[in-house]
Amino acid sequence: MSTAGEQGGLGKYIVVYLCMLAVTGIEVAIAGSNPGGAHLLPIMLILAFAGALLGVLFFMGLAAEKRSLILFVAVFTLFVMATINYGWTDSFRVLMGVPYAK
Amino acid sequence: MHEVSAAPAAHHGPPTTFIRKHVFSTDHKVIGIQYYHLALVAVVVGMVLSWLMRIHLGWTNAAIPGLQALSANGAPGGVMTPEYYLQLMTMHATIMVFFVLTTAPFAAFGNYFLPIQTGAEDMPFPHFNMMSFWVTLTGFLVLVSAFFVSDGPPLAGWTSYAPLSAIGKAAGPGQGAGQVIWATALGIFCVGQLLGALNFISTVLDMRCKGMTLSRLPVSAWAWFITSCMGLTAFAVLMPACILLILDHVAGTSFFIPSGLVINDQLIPHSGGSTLLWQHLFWFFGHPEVYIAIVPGMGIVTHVLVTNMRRPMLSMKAILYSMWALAFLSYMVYGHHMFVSGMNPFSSLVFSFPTLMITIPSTIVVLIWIGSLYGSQLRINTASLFALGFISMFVSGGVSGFFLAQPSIDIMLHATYFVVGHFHMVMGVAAMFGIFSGTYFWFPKMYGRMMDETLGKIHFWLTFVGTYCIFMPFHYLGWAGNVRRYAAFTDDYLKPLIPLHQFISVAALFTGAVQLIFIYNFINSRFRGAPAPPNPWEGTSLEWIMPSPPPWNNFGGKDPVVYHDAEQYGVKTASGADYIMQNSPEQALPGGDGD
Amino acid sequence: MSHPDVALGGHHAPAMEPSPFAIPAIKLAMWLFIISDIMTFAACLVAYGFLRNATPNWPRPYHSSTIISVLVMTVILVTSSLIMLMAVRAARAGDRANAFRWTMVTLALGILFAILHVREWFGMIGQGVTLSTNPWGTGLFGGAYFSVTGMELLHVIAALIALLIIGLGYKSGRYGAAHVENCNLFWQFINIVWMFVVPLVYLMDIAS
Ligand code: HEM
Ligand SMILES: [Cu+2]
Repeated sequence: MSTAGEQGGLGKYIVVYLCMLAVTGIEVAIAGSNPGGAHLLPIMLILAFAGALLGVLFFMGLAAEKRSLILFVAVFTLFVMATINYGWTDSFRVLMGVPYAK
Repeated sequence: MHEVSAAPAAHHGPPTTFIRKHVFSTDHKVIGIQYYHLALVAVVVGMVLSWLMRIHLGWTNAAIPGLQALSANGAPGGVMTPEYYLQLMTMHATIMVFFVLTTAPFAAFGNYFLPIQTGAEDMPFPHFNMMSFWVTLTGFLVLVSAFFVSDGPPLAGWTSYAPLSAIGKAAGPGQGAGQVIWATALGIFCVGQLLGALNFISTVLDMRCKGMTLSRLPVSAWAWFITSCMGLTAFAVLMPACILLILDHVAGTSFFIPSGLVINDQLIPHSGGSTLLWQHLFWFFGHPEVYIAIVPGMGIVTHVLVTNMRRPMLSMKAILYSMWALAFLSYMVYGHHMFVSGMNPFSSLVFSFPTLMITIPSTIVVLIWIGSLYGSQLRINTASLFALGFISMFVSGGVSGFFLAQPSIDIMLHATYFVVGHFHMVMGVAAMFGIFSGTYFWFPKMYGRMMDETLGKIHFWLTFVGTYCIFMPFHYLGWAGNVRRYAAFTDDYLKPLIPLHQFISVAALFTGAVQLIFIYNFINSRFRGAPAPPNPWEGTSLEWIMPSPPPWNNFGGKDPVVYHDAEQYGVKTASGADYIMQNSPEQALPGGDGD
Repeated sequence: MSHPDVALGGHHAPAMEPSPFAIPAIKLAMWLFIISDIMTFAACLVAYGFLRNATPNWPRPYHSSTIISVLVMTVILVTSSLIMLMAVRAARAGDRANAFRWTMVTLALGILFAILHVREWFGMIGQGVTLSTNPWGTGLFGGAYFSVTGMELLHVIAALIALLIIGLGYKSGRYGAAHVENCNLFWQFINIVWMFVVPLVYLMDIAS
């Protein structure tokens, strides 16, 4: 079958597994030592994306699929995710009344 | 049949019981027809509602006999209250946008013809497909049930802007139970369309017969595919938005309700939410949705035109890429509905730019249609007339988009009849013309009988003139400052516009009545039309190689093999025909005018 | 390759064109569903992010006990994901007994996760958090918390049912390896959503 290519040892999976746990560990360490910190959000997002990427590529096996599928999923998903995120930029305006709210 | 089935459940045996055949059928053709009939019922309901609204707008104090039976409070003595006007308007728009413009061109025709055009025996997940229809039907019934709850249907419009859509009864009749029903119905509808989109995409990618490479797919199949890609992500956002809206009603949350809101001298006990949030979520779905309504029509119209022009489009590739561009850009423009919402003014710039860009692929498609039509010997029949009508409406309605795309102009025109004119022409009527074109074109295949062409042409011309009479003046009304969603025009500056409204109302009643010709033609031809040959229009795509109507397993258990794209028109062949069907190994002789 | 695998893998029945992605239709459908589900979660998270960002008195209620419990839940979920991969490997090799066993271990871990998740909820409810009120700050907190985590819990429950049905069905020969793989995709997806829920919902709100 198409995905038969990744029959390699369990070793790779265990490395990924450890990395995912490490990502969570790092997140907790950063957030815990700096509760409510100013730049927490971007750091958390970057780490979450890193963990998710590992999951999608290896645990979901996307890395072993055909390039066309990787491209399709990546471009489609990242694009729609990027565009929906435009929405919450307006929340700054509600909060701070800028720009031009007054 | 093959020994090893090609896909999980695509190869099923012939249905044996009536229920399996016509009710809970997994056959994509039956499901397509069920969707079509649902759309027919919905469009009649929606049209009757529009008549009631138009009568009220023209003659505000006129009693409509019998209306009090529908709602004693909403229309005491048959004269509708302003609130009831808005309630009817909301239902009209919701039914039309979701259960007509989405179901007919996309779900109905797509279900019926997409697997056939790819050369498949069915979709890969026939049971999901069946569920898709029944879930959608449930959504429709839930929506219509709003007429029968105590306060009647909601009045917040098809866009259901918060906070009025979120605070419940305080916002007016229908804003309690009615609004919850509305949101529930749309949530259900989303599930149905997601199931459909999954099937459509996997049909195109995984269920093509031998030789049907992606580049040989007919343009209509591409259009349904592109639409499915939009539907997959757009409906997935409307659904949670509806759930959050329902929570605001029933669970006391305040997602869309700001603090300190006083309505009818009543402090609303919610705090902290944001009305802009609803608009962002809604329009993230809403703008792709309008392209979900129109792109299948573009595919159908291109398919109909190329068959009747008897020569290829100037560039089918350009049409395809433009449709992709529309789908792509439709995710980046949604804020153009929010220019005056209080959104960050920088965002207006961000959204205005792609909105202006989206006019480019729209224009390219139109130019290719017109350039291809130029000098062609178009066969004039009802289907091709409606295709021409589609182009005309799309252009007339699209041009107003150029104005609205610019925030500085939109600030004046937003929430006026100019916008109503814009979207009724470019989405409402154009998509309807796409549906009509597809109906007159494919009716012989779907029902095995020909429709009456004379009645069809009368239907076209009267509808064409009628819809222009209705919707062109809307633009003028908008310029004159006529605000939309008003139940009556008693303000001084609007009074002079009332005669025009009366003219529009007459045109609307007339055009609506004209649709009876279509319904008569449809039902009469269904039972008494001349038997249809397999290929009445001398088309090339695979739906025309099968008998009319097709057997339950489409190609009689023999998968077709494809040798050409679907544009082999105007060619010279040994047999003298001017076209080569996709499944014919024959090669064109040199010297045809398609070269 | 066993028989059902051919059926699911293949549109290579000679009369069909190959899929451009070279995956069977049910796997494609699962990927598509996941893309659409991502948008459903994205919409919820955008709503949450919007409100949180716009609200100055957003509560930050979590103490180390909650964080430890969330960490334990994470370890359980990620471990279950690893174990589900063993089920897939066994299924690919046609080893029905082992595939079933690993699926059931995944299921057990999943149930444990769900129980801890519900326990977490009860903890919050016990502290006075409702959908519209809480002792600490803006009432939006509860609505956002319960809808985002509720969405996750809903998916977990759906996936647990799928694991049970597919696990049993695969053992009895009703389902093929492709079904187990699909189940894996969905389970992994839930794991991935959790990777966003933990930092965005919990870690951002650690009490100072
Ligand atoms: C030529 C490209 C187009 C441009 C530049 C454009 C631009 C716009 C803009 C800026 C608005 C917002 C007006 C306002 O509310 O103030 C609008 C409204 C709308 N457009 Fe378009 N549009 C285009 C094509 C289309 C097409 C093809 C469709 C449908 C098939 C469509 C359907 C709608 C609808 C339904 C609304 C109004 C929704 C509502 O407020 O209820 N437009 N358009
Ligand atoms: Cu728009």
